[in-house]
Amino acid sequence: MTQNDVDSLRENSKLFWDCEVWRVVVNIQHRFEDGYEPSDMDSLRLDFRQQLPNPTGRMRHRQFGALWIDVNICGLRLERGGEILIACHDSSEKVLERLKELVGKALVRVEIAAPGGDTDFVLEDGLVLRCFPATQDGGAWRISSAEGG
Amino acid sequence: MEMGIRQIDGKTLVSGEISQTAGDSVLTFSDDLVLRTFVVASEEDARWNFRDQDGKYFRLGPERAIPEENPAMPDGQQPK
Repeated sequence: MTQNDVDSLRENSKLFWDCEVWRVVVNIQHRFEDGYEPSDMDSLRLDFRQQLPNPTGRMRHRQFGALWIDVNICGLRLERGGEILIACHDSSEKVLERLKELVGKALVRVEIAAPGGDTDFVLEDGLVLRCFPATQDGGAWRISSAEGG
Repeated sequence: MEMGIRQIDGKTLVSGEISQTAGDSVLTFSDDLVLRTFVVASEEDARWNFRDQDGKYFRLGPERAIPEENPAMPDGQQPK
């Protein structure tokens, strides 16, 4: 990933800055094997909404878009102040318990580093969703508007 | 992955750094080749180990400097 790619991704992500997570969708793959039932996070989607100005004082929002992370091709951790709250291969119970805390948190900024494309999604309250891509082809995460663009 | 292994093959390990909080590591080899690891499980301690050619764990640290009891010596020489 070149610095131009990084700059371009970062600029696109700015549309989502200050938007709030209103829904967290976690896909867990559970496999049944002989005497063994592993579960792993498969993907994570954060749905964002934007607060609309409303002179009547009643809070109004519009759905803005989503961040989708493919955990099959990247490592993922939720951290706060350098402490790891969860990592993607932790137990499903622990992962689900922590990820639901993201509801209501606003995205503060997105930091992307070349050449690997390591990405920090910095949220409110010092929460950081840290993504470590394991492929050169991109696609570990993507953002899309509510219209699907 | 095979391409990555071929890149490392024959290189010299120059340095290693491990993040104390996360356990992520950066292993730097000759020719400025860098191997970075990212920890994906907070519930385990062991991330990676060095092993020798026989598969035995290769311990790093001061104990490596302690001479063995019967070091292999060239023919005709005695250990001091």
